[in-house]
Amino acid sequence: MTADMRTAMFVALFAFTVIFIDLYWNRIRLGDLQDKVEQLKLKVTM
Amino acid sequence: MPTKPTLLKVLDIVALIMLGVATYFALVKAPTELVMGQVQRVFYFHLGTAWTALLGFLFSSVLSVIYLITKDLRWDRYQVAAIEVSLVFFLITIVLGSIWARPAWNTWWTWDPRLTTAAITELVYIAYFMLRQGIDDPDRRARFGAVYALLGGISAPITFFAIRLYRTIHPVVIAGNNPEAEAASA
Repeated sequence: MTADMRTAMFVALFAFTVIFIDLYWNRIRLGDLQDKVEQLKLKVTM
Repeated sequence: MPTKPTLLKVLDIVALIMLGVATYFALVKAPTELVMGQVQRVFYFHLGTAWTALLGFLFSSVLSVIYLITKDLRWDRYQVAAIEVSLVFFLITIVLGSIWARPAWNTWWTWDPRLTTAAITELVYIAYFMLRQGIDDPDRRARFGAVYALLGGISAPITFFAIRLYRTIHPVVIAGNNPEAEAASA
């Protein structure tokens, strides 16, 4: 494996780690918002 | 409605930029491999998604343990999120591997130990969501899900070490001493 290939490999590893963290955080935020909506729905029906 | 945190907005932009940078390095900067040719470039995305997905599955096992200790449903939500994202990443890994295998092995799929364990891991986590769908009580669903994710987490290291433990045609790139996996550039 050449130096450029190794660089491309590590850049890809780092990039997908960042993308994973970003998607994970967004998904958690979505889950929290879903919970809030459910709580508000309960408040409205009560 | 609460606004998106600034740090998350910044991370969104950084993630997009990094995707572009990784694509540039894989498609332009990296030289063409002598034996496999252009299709070898798939490897950079295949490895990136596989690595993060397997780490994500292991991370979800850690979150399962935290949930089982604390019984706080917040940890259950974190665990579901980790498995969801990892499942998508791992599906991309399998599809990219298959695209690479067609010209390299002359087949889209073969029951090699690495491919078989990868397919099992993907199915284990699809079954995780089926299990959760079947339970209405949130606490019971979280408890069953945590135990299942904890046991399912075993499949991630098995998939990772399959190419080191069994006879396989899958290249060992990281920490391997297989000369066939060492790419040569044009």
